[in-house]
Amino acid sequence: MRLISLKIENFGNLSDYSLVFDPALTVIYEENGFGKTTLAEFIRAMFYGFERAGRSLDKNSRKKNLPWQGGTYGGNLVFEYEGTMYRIERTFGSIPRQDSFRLYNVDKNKRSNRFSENIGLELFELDADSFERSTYLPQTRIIDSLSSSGIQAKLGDLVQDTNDINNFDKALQALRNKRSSLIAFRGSSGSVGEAQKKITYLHQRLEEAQSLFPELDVLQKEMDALENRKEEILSALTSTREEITLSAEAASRRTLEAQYQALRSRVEKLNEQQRKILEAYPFAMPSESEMDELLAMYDKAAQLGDAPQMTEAEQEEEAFVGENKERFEQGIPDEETFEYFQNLLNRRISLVSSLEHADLSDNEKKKLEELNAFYSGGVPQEEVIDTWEAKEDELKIHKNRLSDLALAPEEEIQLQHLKIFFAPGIPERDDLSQKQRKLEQAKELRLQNLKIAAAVEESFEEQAAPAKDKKAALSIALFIIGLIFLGAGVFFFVRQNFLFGGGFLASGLALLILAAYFRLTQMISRGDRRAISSQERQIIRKSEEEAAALEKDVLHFVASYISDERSLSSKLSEIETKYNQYMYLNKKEKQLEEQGRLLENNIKELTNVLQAELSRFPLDKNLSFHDMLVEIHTGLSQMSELNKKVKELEETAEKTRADIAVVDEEVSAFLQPYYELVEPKDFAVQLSLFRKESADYLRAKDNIERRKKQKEKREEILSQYRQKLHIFSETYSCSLSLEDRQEALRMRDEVKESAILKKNMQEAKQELEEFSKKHEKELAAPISDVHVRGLDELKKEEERFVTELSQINETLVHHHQRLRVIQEQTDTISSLQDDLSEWSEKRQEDIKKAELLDQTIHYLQESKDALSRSYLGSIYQSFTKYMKRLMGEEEENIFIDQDLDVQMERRGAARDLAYFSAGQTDIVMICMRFALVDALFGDKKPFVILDDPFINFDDDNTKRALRLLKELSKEHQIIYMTCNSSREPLLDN
Amino acid sequence: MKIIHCSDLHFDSKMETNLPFRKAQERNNELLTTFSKMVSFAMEKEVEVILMAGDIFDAQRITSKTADYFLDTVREAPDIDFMFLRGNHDGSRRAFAGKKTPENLKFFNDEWTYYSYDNVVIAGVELNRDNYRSIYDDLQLTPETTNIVMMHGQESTQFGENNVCLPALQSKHIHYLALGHIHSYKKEKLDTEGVYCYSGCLEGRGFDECGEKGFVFLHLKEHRIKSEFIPFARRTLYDIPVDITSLTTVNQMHRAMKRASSDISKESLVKFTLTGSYTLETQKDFRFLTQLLNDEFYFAKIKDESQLALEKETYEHDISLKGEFIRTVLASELKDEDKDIIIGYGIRALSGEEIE
Repeated sequence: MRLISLKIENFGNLSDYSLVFDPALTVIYEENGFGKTTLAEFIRAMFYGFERAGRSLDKNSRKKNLPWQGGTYGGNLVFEYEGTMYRIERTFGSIPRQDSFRLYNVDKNKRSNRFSENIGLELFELDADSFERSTYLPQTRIIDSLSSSGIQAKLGDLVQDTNDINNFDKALQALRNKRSSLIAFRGSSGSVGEAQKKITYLHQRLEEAQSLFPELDVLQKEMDALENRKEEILSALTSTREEITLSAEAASRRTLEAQYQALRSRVEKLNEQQRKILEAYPFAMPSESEMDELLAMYDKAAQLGDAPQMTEAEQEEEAFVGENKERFEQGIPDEETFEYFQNLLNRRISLVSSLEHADLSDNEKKKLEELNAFYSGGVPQEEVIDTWEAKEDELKIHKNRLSDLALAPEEEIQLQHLKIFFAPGIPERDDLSQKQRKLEQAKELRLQNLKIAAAVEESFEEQAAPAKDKKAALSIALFIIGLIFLGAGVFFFVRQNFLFGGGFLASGLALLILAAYFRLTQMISRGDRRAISSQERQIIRKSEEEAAALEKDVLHFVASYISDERSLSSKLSEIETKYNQYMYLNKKEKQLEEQGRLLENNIKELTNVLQAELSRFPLDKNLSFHDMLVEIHTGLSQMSELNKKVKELEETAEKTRADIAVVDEEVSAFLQPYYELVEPKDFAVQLSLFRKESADYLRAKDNIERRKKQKEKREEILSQYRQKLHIFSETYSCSLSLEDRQEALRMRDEVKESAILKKNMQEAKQELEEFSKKHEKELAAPISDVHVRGLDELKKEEERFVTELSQINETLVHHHQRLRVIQEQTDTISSLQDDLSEWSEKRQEDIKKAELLDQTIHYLQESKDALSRSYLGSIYQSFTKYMKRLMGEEEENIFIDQDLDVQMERRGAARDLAYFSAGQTDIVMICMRFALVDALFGDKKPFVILDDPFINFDDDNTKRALRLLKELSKEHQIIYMTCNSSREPLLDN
Repeated sequence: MKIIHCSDLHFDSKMETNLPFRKAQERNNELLTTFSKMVSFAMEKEVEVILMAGDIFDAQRITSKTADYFLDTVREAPDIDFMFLRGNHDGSRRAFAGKKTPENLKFFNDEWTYYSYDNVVIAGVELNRDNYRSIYDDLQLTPETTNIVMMHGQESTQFGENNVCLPALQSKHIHYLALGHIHSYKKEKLDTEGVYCYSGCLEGRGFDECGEKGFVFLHLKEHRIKSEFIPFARRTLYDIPVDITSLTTVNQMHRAMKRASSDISKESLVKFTLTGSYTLETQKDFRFLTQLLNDEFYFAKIKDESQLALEKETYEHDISLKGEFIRTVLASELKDEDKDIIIGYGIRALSGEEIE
């Protein structure tokens, strides 16, 4: 195919550019910056469009070639293929979707669908990259390898399905990836590795589970053995227990028999005993109750004892009664009478006591003496004392008044200050008035001056009134606001908000200053007034002088008292005020002094009087009159009371003595019949003795009587007892006497014993009967003579069996538990085996797959290499052909490998192109490129774009290259671009 | 008297069908259920004895749960005697470890054990290395009774630990030789008096056990034994060949498979064996196909036995990479099936298709 022409609308820096290609050699000789590379890229873009954009500009051809000047991005290209002219029209947008492609059959002048927008691939059977690498030789582009998949494929004439070929690397990578996913090329990752890990793990678990089988078998055997042993023991235990039963039964039979015999023996024994006892009572045996009665009788008889002997006390009683019989024959007073006289005597005692105490106490006596001594000078009357008290009150009043006669403390202080103020001298009132008048005069004079000035100003102010008013109002307002701000500033300062405080203060001050300013301006504005007349001026001056003189006088007066900056008027006013205060206080002080003197005289007088009156009493001089009077008054009342008491005591004593005499008479009359003369002092004792003796006498008499009766009674009882005993003896053929208690006891015991025996015998018989009835069958059965082992032995054997059984059960339980644990593990075997089998199969499959993939990669690579090797020879031949034509010599030591990397032998070693000069490299690359094109395209001979490829050639090589170029152009359509005339082939002859 | 003859239940054994784990578990559970249903059937039919001729459990895989289920099922049919003959895979000794076996579960050992039911005698023995020769001589049966013998092993004319030597059992007055070991039903004549029968397994566990599975129902009347195979399996396994020659797309293959399996129940397990030939253009997306088929059956798998059909003329002179690759592989010494796979991988890789 051949390029015919192109038209660039806008592409990179090229705009509205047209080019007609020479069928052989098209030379584009332009300066640097023309856009030669851009032109080459345009051609490529026409055939291939733009590839997927890369981020960098370098890789993003779409962006890189955006028209600098805007406009339609694209153009058209006319080419000839197999005798037909086609025109490609492409435009490009910012994204591929916006691109357009149209193909026209130029000959037929209509759209053609012979090729699609992948026209490059279809025409050249190469992808864009391969196309660029093969047909476009740039100026300085570094070609790492001439080879690419596309080129190799093309070289092998493989293009039937572009996707397959161009995907070789991807295919290889896909196979490798797949293989790696199964078995990694390095390391143990991959599904096989994973499967292996899983298998190893499952094996381990399976082994662990299966390793339990022996234990399971052993356990089963043990359990079976234990179960068997358990059966044996149970059987043995059963027979042992049966034997125990038999043994127990035999023992029981023997025991029964023994019990029966014992019961019988007992009955017989009791019977015998009873018989022996009854032998002693041929007729009858007394009953127990009779015996008890009898014995009780004996006890009573014993209690009665022998005839009692009189005791010493009783003898004394007898004697006492005999001695006092005569005295008490006339009658013994009763207790009530004794009580009466006792009370009487008690009363006497109290009377005597009260008589003894009818006197003042020692303290009272002493007090009375003191009082008598106190008032030895005479006892004052009540009225006199009242008089003294009145005087004392008057004295007190005077003294109080005296203490009140003084200025109040603040008045005192004020008076002191005023005295200090008027230290220079107390002015006269007239002086003050005069000064005041002077001041007023001065003021009048000034006012007069002002009036004169005012009259002058009035006319001015009529004009400036509004302004003046304004300014005045403004200054006032500012002043007020300034004050408010100042106040606020102070407030905030106090609140420690210094920021606000400072702000307000500053603002306030500023406002005040502003107000002052306005005020000043207002005042200054007064300067603009009309001129004052001289006469007026003179009047004013004179008045001023006069006023000044007056003020000076006042000032001189005032200055002696006050020296501050206030106005004279205020100072004078203060002086006047203070003067008035001073005069008032001074006067008041004097009045108070006068009153005080009067009072003092009165006080003195009263004091003297009282002293005189009270001096006759022995009073403490340090006491006040009041206390003295109180003492006198108190003493008087005490003395009066004491005297009164003395009198009363005497009266009471008299009466008491009379009462005592009466009592004495009565008591004496009472005691006289029984006792001879008794002194009053002995009344109590005697009465007490009388009372006691009377009681003793009565008691003794009663005792004697009682004893007599007892004796009689005893005799009677004993007689009855004897009678009873006689009857008893008669009845039961015995001879009991009241003195022979032992025999009665013996009899009683026998009777009791007989009763007990009888009862026991009855019980024994009943027991025997019941026993016989209960065990009738057993007793009827004969006693077995079969030998059974002893119960103890059998019990021990049973216990042994039970213990062993318990141990076996415990062991079985333990084994069961262990069995369960083992079975839990062994139950997992099936799933483990299935899992293992599955994983193993998968692993095998994956290994097999990996092997097959390895084989695939190997054979694919081998195929590719075979393919490469098949064309290498032709490239080598073409390359050497071109090298010879270019260099004029045979390059024998050139090596080209499968990747089309070139090495040349220099000085005995194969060197990569990188080791050679740029010029040599370029030579080789050009030759390689043409060899490649020959190999790639065979007879098709596509166009070749050379972008100043000889830039690094020396002159000779350049010439050769240009010559070669011309020759090649006979075979290939060459588009040659250069910016240097020395490399312009058409200029070279 | 009614008797059931079954064998080779292989409880808890591995499923040889490549079932996913969950489904394999399901199948094992179904096996237990089928057994339970068989017992229910037996109770309904007033069967007196169930002969279990070996390989009931898998020695290595038996679980406690399965053993309990089995024992409970036996326990719940106290009127039926279960004649339990252990086979070469049986692990019941371990299975029943620590468990109390019910009274109606009867065991055998390495000597002849006889169980009598009126005039029916059931004898059984477990072969081992010590008795496999001599045991036959010890069998004592009388012609007056109806005699059923149970053994487990491969039918053979030779003695062997795992063999049932049929000639040695002839003329022993055996009316019915209930065998286990072979997983398909088979009944043949033993001698003039009786027959031998393999009941086969109750449920197929692999695609080598396709077809009907169940048990044999015996009806004894006087001296006559009438036997009938009862298909009883919950599911049936099928191996369906499908020729994929000239089929290129998944859809075509799917339709062909559907046609081939149109009579098969959805509850079945089906293996589709692909035969014939395929080309490089054929879409062999078996994963997708398997997914489709598993929606139509309980379980389906595909085994590919088809062969790659390559026309040598097409690639002999093809100097493309593809052609070179195919030639290189075909010329290698690899196995044919490997060559097919490698070529498939390579072509798919070059085409940018996914490599499975």
